[in-house]
Amino acid sequence: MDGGKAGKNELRFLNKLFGLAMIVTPGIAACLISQLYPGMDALFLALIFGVTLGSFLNRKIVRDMAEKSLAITLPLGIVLYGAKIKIPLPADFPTWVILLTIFSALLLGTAVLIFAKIFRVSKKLSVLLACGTALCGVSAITIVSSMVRPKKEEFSAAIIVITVVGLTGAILYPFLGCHLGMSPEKYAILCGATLHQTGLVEIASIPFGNDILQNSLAVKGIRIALISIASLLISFAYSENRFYVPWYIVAFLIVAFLSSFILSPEIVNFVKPFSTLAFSITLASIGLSVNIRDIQKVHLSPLIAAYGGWFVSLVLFILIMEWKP
Amino acid sequence: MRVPIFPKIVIISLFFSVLSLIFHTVTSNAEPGMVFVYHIYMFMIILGISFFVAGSITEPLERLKKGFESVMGGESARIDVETGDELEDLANSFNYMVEVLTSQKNMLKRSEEKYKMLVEDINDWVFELDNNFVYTYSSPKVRDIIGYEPEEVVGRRIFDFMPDEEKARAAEELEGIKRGKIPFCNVENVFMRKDGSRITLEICGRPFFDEDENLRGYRAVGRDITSRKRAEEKIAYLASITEHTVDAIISLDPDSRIVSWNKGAEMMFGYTEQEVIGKPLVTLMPKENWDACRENFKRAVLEGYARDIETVRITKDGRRVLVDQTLTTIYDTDGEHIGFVAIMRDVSKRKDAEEKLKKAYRQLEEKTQELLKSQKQLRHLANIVENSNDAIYSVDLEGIITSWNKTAEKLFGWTREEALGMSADILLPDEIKNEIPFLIQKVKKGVRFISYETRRLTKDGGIIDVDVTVSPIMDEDGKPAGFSVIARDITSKVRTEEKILKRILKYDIDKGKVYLVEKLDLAVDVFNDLVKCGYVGTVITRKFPDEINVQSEHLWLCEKKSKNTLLPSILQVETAVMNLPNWNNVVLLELDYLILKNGFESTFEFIQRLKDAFYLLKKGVVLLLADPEVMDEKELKLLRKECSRIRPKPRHHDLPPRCYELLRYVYMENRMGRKISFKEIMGHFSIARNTAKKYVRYLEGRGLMKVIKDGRLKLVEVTEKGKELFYTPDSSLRSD
Repeated sequence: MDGGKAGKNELRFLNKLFGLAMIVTPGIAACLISQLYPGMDALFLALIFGVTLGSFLNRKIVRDMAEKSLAITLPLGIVLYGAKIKIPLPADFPTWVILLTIFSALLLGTAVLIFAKIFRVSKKLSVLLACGTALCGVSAITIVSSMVRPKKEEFSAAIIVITVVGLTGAILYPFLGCHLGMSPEKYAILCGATLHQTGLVEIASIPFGNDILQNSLAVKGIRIALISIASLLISFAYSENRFYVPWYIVAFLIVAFLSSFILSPEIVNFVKPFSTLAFSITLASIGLSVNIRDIQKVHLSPLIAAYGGWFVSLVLFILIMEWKP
Repeated sequence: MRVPIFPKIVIISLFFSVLSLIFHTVTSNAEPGMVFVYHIYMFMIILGISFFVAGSITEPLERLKKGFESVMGGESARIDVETGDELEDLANSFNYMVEVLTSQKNMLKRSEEKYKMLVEDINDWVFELDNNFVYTYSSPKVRDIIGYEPEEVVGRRIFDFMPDEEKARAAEELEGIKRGKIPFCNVENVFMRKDGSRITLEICGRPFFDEDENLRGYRAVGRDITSRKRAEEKIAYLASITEHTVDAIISLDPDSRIVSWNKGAEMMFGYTEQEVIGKPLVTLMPKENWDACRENFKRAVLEGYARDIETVRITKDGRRVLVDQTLTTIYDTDGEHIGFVAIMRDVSKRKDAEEKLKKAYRQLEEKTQELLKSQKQLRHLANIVENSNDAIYSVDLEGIITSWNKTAEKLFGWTREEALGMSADILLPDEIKNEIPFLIQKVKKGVRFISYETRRLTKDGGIIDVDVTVSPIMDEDGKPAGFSVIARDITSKVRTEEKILKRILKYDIDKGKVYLVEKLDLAVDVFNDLVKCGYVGTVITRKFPDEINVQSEHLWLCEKKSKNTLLPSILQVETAVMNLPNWNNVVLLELDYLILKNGFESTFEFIQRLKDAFYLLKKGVVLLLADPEVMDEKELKLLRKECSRIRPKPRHHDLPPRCYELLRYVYMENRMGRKISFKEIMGHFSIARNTAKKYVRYLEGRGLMKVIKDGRLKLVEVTEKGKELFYTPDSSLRSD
C-alpha cells in the first residue's frame, strides 16, 4: 500500500516537475531568442511557444500548472517590470515631445477604441488592444490584463494582433523614414511615440543611426512610463471597489519610482531580465492553457481595429508633426 | 461595420501588395543582418494575418456546420457571427432558418399535441390496425370504451375483443373491406368489455398505404353506440307500440293539421294515412264539437294537455263513435311548440260494457238481496233446527259427528263442544254398535231416506228410544258426504205401545225378537194375531197360501221365478226380509226348505244375522217355522237356544173370547182415530149383524163399549173403562 502510494506521489511529483518544465522552458527559450535577436519580442515568442507546445501536449496537468503559475508569475513580472520604467523628468525632454508623446498615446488608444467599437470588438479586447497600441505593446497588455481579466483567447489574440501590427510598423517605418523626408528627430519621435514594442522601436531606428535609436527609445520610455498612469486608471475603472488598486500595481509603481530615482542603474539592469523572464513564463503559461482555435474566434475585427486605429493615428500624428514648425 | 468578404480580400491583397513593396524597398536598402529580421517579420505578419483571416472564415463555417448538425439532430441552434460580411449574413440566415424551423417545429409540435389531445380527449376510440387487423395504436379512450389499457390492446387482433359469435361475422366483413382497400363507415361490431359486458361500437376507418401503394392498415374511430342502439330499439319499440296500438294516435302540426296517423286511427276511423294527412282534426268531428275542439287546443297550449271525455267523432262511413281524447302539446328540444298529439280511445264498446256491467250489477244486487234473504231463511231454518224439539245432528262418512243442536244436547247430555268430532258410535248401546257402519253403507249405496225406531245411549249411561230419520248429506259433486240424523225421543211412546201391544196380544211377544215355532197352527195364530194388532205380515214359505190361512203378502219359496216367488237362497231371503219397508213387520219364515237347500250352518248364520238386525232396528217380529221331525236334535237345540220361544199369555179379563176380540179390534181402530161401524165389524169378523149387535150390546152392558150415532150410521167406540183393559197408566209406565 505504502509502496503504491509512494509510487503515486512520485508519479504526481514527476508530472508536476514535467508541467513546471513545460511552463518555464518556453519562457526561457523566448528570453534567450529575444536576447539573441532583440527584434523578436520575448513575450510574443513565449506565447507562440506556449500555444504551440500546448497544442502538441494537450495535457491537463500542464494546463492546471500553467493556470496556477499565472498567480505568481504575472504579479511578479508586473512588479519587476517597474524596473524597466524610467520616469521622464521635464528637464530630460522638451515639453512638446512629452506632450506629443502623450497625445500620440491618447490618439492611438482612442483610435483603436473607436475602430474596435466600429468593428464590434469586445470591450475587454478593445482595452487590451488600445493599451497595447498606445503604450508598450505586449508588456502593457500583460499588465492591463491582470486588471481587466479578459478571456485567455482574447488576451492571446491581443498579444498576436499587437505583435503583427508592431512588426508591420517595424517594416513600414524605415520606408517612411526614407521616403517622407522626415528629420531624424521627428523620425525618432515617430518611432518612439507610435511603435508598439521597445524591440521594434530599436529595429525601426537602427537603420537611421544610434542617435535616432537613443532618442526613439527615450520617447518610447515616456510611453512606457505612461503604463503606470494607465494601470492606475484602469485599476480604478475595473476595480470592484472604488479607487482600489491591486497590490502588484502599487508595487510596480514603487519599483518604477525606485528604479527611476533611487536605485542604481546596476541593480535596475540586473532586475530587468527577471521581469522579462517572469512575463515570458506568464505568456508561455497562457499559451499553454489556450486553444489556438479559440484564438481564431476573435476573427479579423481586432486585427482591423488595431491596424486601423494605429494607421489612422500614424497618419494624423505625421500630419501633426509635419504641421509643427 | 459591414465589410463584405470580397472587399476584405481586396484590402488584404492590397495591404500585402503595399507591404511587399515596402518590404522590398526596405530590404533593398537595409543591412544584410537586418534583411533576415525583416524576412522573419514579414513571415510573422503574413502568418498572423493569415491566422486571423483563416479564423474569420473557418470558425464561422465550423460553427455553422455544428449548427446544421445540431439542427439535423433535432436540436435548436443559434450562431452569433459578427464578422460583418457574408458569413454574418449566412449565420443570420441560418439563425432565421433555425427560427423558422423552430417555429415550424413548435407549430408542428403544438399541432401534434393538439391532434394528440384531440385524439386522446375525443369521446371516441381512435385506433390503428395493421393489415392483419392487429392494433398498432390505441388512444387512451379505450380505457373508458372497453376497459383495457392501450398497451393491453396494442399487439392483439381486433377479433380478440369480440364475443365468439361476433368474430366470424366481423372477420368476413373486415376481410371484404380489406380486399376492397376502401374506406368504411358505420360498421357496427359487438365488443366484449374487460368486465365481460358487451358494447356495440360503430367504426369508421380509412386505409393507409406504403410508398408502393400496398395496404399498410387502417386508421379508425370507434364510437360507443350501445346507448344509441338501446335508444333506437326503445324508439322502435315505442313506434311499434304507437303503430300497433288500438288507440288512435294522431300527431298534429301547430295548425291542428294531421301529420301522422297510426293503424289504430285507421281502424277506428276508416281513413288511410294518405287520405287524412294534411287535413284538420275537425274533419273527424261533428260541427257541434268544433267549438269544444278549439277550446281544447287552447287549453292544451296553456296547460300542456287537455282531456275530452266521451266525445263524439265521425268515421269515414259516417258512423259516430264515442272516444276519450287526450290532447297533448309537444315541444322540440329548444322548447319550441311544434304541434300536438291526440290520443283517442274508442269507448263505445266500453260504454256498452258499462251498461251491461250496470245491468249485471243490478242483477247481482238482486241476487245478493235474494242471497241475503236466503241466508236469513237459512239462519231461520238453522234457528229452527237449533231450537227444534228433535235432536238433530250430522255424521260424516267416518262416523264422526259434525253438527249438534241444542235439543241433541238436552236429549243425549253431551254439549256441542263435546259432541263435535266425537264418534257417533258413542251414542249407541253396545248391542247396536254396528248401526253407524250400517247407515254409512246404506248412505253410500244411495239410500235417500231411512226412518226407524231405535235406541240411543245418553251421556249418563241411560238408554232412550228414539224415532230416527236418517237423510244423506251430499257434497258439491252430489256424492254422499255423510248423513243427518233427526232423533225424536219416543221412549215413553214405545214403552206405552209395547205395553199396550203386549196387553192386546194373545201371546207374550216382544218386538225385535226372533221366535222359533215348531207347530204350524201356533205360528199361524201368532202371525194372525200380530197382523190384527197392526203388524204388517209377510209369509215366506214352501207351503201354498191356502195351506196357511193368513191375510198378508205371501212369498213362495220356489226354484222357478214367478210372481210372488222367492228363490230358496239365503241371500234372496235375507235381502227380502231386510228390505221390508215397515218397522212393525211380522215375518213368518219356514226354515225346512231353506235348510234343505242351503244347509243348516248357512241357515243358522242367516238366523243369527236376522236376529241382530231385527233387534237392532226393531223392525218387528220374526217367526221361524221349523218342523222338528225333519231336523236332527242337535240342530233343533241350536235353534231353540238361539231363538226365543212363544208363550201363551195369562188372561187378564173375564170376557168371552169373541167379545174380547171385538173389543180389541175396536180399541185398536179407535187408537188410530177411526170409529168402527157395525158393517166393518161384520166384515172383519165375518159375523151376522145380529151377532155383532149382540157382542156390542154385551160389551156396552159391561160399560166397555158405547154406540155413537153419526147421522144414520152407527159407530162403536171403546169406553174409558174398556180402554183400561189395554191401557197402562203413565205412572206405571214411568215406574217401568
